[in-house]
Amino acid sequence: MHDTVLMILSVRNCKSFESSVNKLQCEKIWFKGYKEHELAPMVNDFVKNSNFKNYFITPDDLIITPYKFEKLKSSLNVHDIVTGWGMIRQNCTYTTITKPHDFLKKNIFKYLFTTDTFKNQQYQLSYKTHEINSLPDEVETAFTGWFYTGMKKEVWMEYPYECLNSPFASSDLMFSRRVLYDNKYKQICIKKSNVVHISNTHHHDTSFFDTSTCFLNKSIVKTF
Amino acid sequence: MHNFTIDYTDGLVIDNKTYDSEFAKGKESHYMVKTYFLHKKIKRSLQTYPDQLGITATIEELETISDKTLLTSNDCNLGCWVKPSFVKHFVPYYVEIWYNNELYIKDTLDCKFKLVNFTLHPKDDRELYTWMNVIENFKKETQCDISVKNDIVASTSEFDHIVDVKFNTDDQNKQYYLGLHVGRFYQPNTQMPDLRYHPDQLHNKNSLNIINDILYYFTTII
Repeated sequence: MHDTVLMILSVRNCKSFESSVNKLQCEKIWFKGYKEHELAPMVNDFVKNSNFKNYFITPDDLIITPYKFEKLKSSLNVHDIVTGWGMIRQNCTYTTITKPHDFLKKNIFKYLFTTDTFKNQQYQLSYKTHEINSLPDEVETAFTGWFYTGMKKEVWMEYPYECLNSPFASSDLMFSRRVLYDNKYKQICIKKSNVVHISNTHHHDTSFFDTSTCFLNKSIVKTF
Repeated sequence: MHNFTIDYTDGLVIDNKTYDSEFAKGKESHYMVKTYFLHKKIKRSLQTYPDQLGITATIEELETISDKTLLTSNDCNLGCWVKPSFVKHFVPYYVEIWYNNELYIKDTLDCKFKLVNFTLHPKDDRELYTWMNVIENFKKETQCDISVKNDIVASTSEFDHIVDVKFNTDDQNKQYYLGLHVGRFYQPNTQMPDLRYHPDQLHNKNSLNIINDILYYFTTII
């Protein structure tokens, strides 16, 4: 059995994702059909009651190659929290790599934010695509987006999976906000571990993501 | 403020789904879209450097000059969408949206780190291999990610070094940045080539010519 597990938050029907994940050298646990709020107790119980060395997390619209995933795994020997990165959406120029400077004060990481704040300020401090090549191989980010974010069990236990109050869930934002606020760990983005984000908000394709049916069948599937 | 979307998934479509009626008071009731073809000239030079084994030669980029040529100019009512051009092949677009005589939004088509989808309709496996080689070259040039909609590609690992995401040919999703179709396309009920895909017709075109026209008609890199 591998010492690394990938927790997959799965609500879509994407064969390409399945085949890419099956190639990764790690164990997998699929949380299928659960809403983000429903996942909190299950993810936290799993981390608490299992004994893997490294825990990674991803939603099922992100595709990574085995080589890039291995880069992330090996980086966990050096850093406490590592993550891949990618486009926030295909129809924008912003990536998930976000400048940590003043992040807590300036945008939705503030504890009381409004819908307008969310719309207008979410990406204000994100690096744009044309800025990526000039970044170093490892760069601190204020946001991971669950783009194959990994850490050791102890760190997961310190920062369990939590969501914002409805209508937002944003467990990824919650995680990064707490880490930034405590300033104990750094979230390190590995530049070579870029991930393909299959997402364009201009198009709501029910063949890919059907919100009317995707939460109907719930199950947890493990490879171990 | 008005909200515009610029969509490259199947040709170019600009939409003003939501407009701000308060903001529009006393201003024009339409917007204008200008599209340009963005062309870059890269000056390269052969540089030589002495090293332990003699002299090494490298080609270095000295200067990049960008220029743009106006392709289309369209007026459109607020709240409506517009297709500035019916072209479906690759165009290095620079788009300007003007409102009330002011430049409101500008956008440059830039595939770097984004997902470009190719829907492939080859006549045989040989043609598919030819096209995949050109797509590999396109991927290196633009630093983009590649998805392919094609049943053969979806069922094999042969092209996994090129293709990041695989879909079946009839998959309708558009969860990518730029969408291109490669094949032989004709106007309905005729043998006339569809010029939206084949800007230089289809006469005497081999497999390589077809994909070159779709990807490089404007830029002629190959």
